[in-house]
Amino acid sequence: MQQANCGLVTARVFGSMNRRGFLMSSSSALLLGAALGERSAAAATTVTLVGWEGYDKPLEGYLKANNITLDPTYIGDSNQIISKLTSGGVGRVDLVTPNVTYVPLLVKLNTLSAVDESKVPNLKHVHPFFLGNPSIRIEGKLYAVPYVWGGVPMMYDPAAISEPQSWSDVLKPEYKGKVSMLDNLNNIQLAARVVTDAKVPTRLTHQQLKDAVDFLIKVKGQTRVLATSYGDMADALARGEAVITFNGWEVVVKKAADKGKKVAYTYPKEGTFGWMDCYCIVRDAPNSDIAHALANEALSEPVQIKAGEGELLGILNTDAIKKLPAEARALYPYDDLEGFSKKVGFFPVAPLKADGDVATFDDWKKEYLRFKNA
Amino acid sequence: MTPPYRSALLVAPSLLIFIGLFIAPTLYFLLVSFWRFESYELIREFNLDNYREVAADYLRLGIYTLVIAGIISLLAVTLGFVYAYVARFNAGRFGSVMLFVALISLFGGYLMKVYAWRTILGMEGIINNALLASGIVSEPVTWLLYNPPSVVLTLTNFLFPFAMLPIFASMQSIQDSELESARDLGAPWTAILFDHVVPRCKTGIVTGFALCFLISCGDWVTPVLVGGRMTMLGNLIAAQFGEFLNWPLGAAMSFSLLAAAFLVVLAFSQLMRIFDAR
Amino acid sequence: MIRRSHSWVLVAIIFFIFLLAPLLLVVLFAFTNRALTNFPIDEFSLRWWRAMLDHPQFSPSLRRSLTIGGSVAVVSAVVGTAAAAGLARLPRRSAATLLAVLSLPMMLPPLVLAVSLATFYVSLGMQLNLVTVTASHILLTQPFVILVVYAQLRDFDVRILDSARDLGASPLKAFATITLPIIAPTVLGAALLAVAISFDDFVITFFTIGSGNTLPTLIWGMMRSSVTPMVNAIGTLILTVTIISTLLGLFLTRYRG
Repeated sequence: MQQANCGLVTARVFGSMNRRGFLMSSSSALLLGAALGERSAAAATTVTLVGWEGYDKPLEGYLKANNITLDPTYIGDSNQIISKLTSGGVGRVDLVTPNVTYVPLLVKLNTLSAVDESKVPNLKHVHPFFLGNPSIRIEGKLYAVPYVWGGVPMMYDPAAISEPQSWSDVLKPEYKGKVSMLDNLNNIQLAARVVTDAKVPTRLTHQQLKDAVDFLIKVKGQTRVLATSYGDMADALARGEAVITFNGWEVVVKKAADKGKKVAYTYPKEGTFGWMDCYCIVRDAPNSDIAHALANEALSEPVQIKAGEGELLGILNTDAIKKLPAEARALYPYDDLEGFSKKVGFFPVAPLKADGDVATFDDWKKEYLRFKNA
Repeated sequence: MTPPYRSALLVAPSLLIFIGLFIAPTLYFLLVSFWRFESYELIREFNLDNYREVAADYLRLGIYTLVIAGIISLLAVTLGFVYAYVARFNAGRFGSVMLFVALISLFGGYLMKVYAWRTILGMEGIINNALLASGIVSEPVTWLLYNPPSVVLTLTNFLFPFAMLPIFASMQSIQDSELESARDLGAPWTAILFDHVVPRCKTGIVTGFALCFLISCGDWVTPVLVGGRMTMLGNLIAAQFGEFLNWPLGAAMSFSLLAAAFLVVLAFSQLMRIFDAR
Repeated sequence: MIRRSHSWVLVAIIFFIFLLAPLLLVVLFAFTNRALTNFPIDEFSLRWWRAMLDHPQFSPSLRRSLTIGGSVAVVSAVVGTAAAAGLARLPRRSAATLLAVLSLPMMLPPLVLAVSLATFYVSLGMQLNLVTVTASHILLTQPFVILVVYAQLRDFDVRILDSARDLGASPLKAFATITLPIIAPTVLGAALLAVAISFDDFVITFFTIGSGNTLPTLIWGMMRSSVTPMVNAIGTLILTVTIISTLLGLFLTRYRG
């Protein structure tokens, strides 16, 4: 073996050339079988989606009935949508489900196409409160079809601890090593609620931003699992690895229940931030018509009821809200949306360009990297 | 003999792939590391800010990453050496079975191994199951998973064959008789090991170490899945191409890491020279 | 013999457990009927295999994995064999140097290779899709093919070819009728090794695929969301394909007539 410095190759070849007697020649059957079973599955249209996990579930029946295959890439942070689209996703991805606060940014980056409202007739069933969100329309054109909403809660294990009151409860010494924290830049908004007096938690001064991230770093010190997705967080709660969380999602209750674990949530006293995830059509989407149809279907009464009842999501079709079973209806303040909005707020992302002492989105990312680096 | 141009023609497609998909992207990536990203726009102005930022903010994390990778690689090489030695000199015909097992574990899915360790080490995992059932502990122990040692364990397990196979390959050239005669001359086993076996396996050891070190220092999946809140430089590099979208900084981190890793490998191979002198 | 005691047996067993237990557990729990991957397994069932087949993402992901693996195998076999044939005509020292150079991509951390390729593709305005994944995999697999085929061709007696040429055969014909039949098993074996590498790859695929999943990226998504023994079922499938193609590949490349 002269080329011993070719390392691994050499090792593999070497092993193969000098050793004998370890093969059942019949084992090729499986590979062949797999190759044959690979025949293309009819002529289903494939629609590509980058978004939050679980949003496609209420649509499953519709997809099957119309022979549409959904090809989803799941995210743990709306910023990943920006990366996917600006790194070659435009022209290939059909749909994305960003938080509404990211829509103006996505439009500015020329990644979305305006929604053809005539193809989304179900928009008229959407509660006016949600259609009134200023971020879905830019220069008069609709760019986002609202789908579901909520406010970021704190999850906890009711069997292990009593209901937390404050976001800073995660810092209690008894929870050390029992905290799960979502690895998400928007945690800064939550931290800003706790440690700063900023009116709008996305318009922070540099000092406030720093204080918020310092707080997050303290929380990180308490953390057992830095969750990369809400599913990850649900898994940690279900397996008893964590009993309290920083950042959360009402749906985690459902995900944990699927694993046989009862989990509860609360909105801590400092308040939180609201989110409304939307279906947006990507610019140059290969299947623009089907993407519109899916966005429309997502607002239909049966799908919305499935989302609200089955997935415990906050829904926004007025007829569907009325028909929700009392239990699912009690999960969200459907009757006092204005009040909810005042309490939690839907805040646009930090400004892109410097604006006095207000930190830019780039500053946020740089500071959040400091958190990751800590 | 055939004219040389035919040789060149035959190698050309491979070389084109190599140049087009390795040399060109790497050079471009190096160039990117001197640019910057601002409000989602790549600004093509030469500057050293990214490297300054890496040196100022990520030096600690970089060193931490190298230390972890070093521990993993040394462990993998040591274990690989022991295994290769047993397979080559002790196991006789059974040695081929041992080699075969190492080969299987080389190809056994990267992700699946990380996942398997999570199943083994978790609070409801197999070890805790056994500990609880046997009454050794009354509550599941938490220190098995989601910490740096679990990352070290998982990656050592994954990289073991990368270390073992090159070492085994270089052991093939050592004759049993050489060791026997050394023993007949009354040499203690340590002397046999360090004067005869290790020097002859130097190439394999350095190759194995290099492979393990380069793979582990750039790993990001294992810390995510079994590291809990542990971060390695790889996680930040990956994030620059995910939620943070800052290629230039990611590129600068990558090249800084590469440069440091090559220095470590170089230092290791120099260190191995002490065995030449004997 | 150097063997003095049998304590090495214990060492070997401990290593076997360390190496194989994780893989065996993956396979074992693919057949549990519970939702958690731990003991005791009350009953073995195919529940999670059925769940895998019913998963809407499974068959598209499998199709992609196979398409990529197949294309990688074919292209790297053709390109690699040509290169090996070219190298076999060079002096051994220069051939070894070229080989070492072509193997360089394997010495980079996969993450660095992946992000630099992704940056390159995107900057060229290319769309990230199965083609970009396949191309990236070929970069990694071609050195394997070249080395394996070269190792055989190096020791090949060129005089047979020369005499065929003397008898008036064209170079192509000489290759097709003499060289190819001899090296065909090796080439096929090398192609199967390429399949194994491609089928198991996660990092490169993750960054260069744009959207959509292969089996490893599908598992990655599942591990970060709803972890069930379905992950074990898919993992077992990946392991089966990679291990069988490796075994077959190793067997064929060693096969030298």
